[in-house]
Amino acid sequence: MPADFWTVMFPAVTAAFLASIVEVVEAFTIVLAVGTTRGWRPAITGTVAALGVLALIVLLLGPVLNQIPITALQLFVGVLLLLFGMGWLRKAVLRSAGVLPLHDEIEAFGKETSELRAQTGAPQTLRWIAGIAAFKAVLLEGLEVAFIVIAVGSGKGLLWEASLGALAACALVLLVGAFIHKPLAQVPENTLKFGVGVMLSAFGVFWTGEGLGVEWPGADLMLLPLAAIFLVAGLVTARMANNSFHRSAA
Amino acid sequence: MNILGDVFKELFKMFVADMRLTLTILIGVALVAALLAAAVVGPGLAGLLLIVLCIAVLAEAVMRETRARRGR
Repeated sequence: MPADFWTVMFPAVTAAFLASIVEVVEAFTIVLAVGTTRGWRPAITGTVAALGVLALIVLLLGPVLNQIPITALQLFVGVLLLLFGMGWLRKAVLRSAGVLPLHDEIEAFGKETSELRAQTGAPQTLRWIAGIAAFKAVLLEGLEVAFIVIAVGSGKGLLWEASLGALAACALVLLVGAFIHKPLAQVPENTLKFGVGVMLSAFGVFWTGEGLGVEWPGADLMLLPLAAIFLVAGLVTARMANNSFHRSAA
Repeated sequence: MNILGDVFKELFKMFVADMRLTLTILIGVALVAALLAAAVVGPGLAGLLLIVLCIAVLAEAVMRETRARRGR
């Protein structure tokens, strides 16, 4: 086992895995709507095409980033991770506090199904439109996963490990989805989003600091206290927002 | 369906979910870099500044959104 397994590899692969679950669940809802409304052929074709495009993005961008000097790469990726992770954490905190509504997969499934049913035209055209809907859903949701895989993977040369984490999540969601054949509304999406936001923010601060020349006490080990700090800050902020929101509503 | 347009919109949303949060983080990181380069703060204190900045920005962004939605 590598020396930095618990401090770097495990958090990186876990972040890619959990983020992938959140996004694949959302994409699966649309693909399921396409499959049950217009048949599985356009749903599967659109999905496979989008996964191919995403794989290409990771395969092309990953090695390119590895050519950038490590300090510049850490600063660049660190700032992007910070912006992205803090964005996720902010949204998850607001949802957790009850300020924003939770994402509802059943509602998303109903909306997509209604939109697909409302379209008119020749069967071939309708299948084509449905295939594009599946392609777009998987591509747009997958972009965030591709970014996370590239970002957490490139800083420490863990591109393959992070990709495998994301693929494992994809396989798990598809397997469960194929078995129950319903939108995966029971997945605790916001809790996962909260956790991933915490981890990505911690990675973001750590790498931004490394890129700037910050000397973190304990080096890579500092990732764990950083994650703990963001977790506590997120929970406290959620409590404060909840109190403020509901006090005024009462 | 403009897929390419949607892709760019999604990419923008990924990093600019909240414009003020994004700008404050970018300005804060630049400020810490400048303080570090001018040797006003040491490498240890710079890390602490980064952490405090991020927590403050997160709390401000959440409470601002909460206040904005409270009146609706």
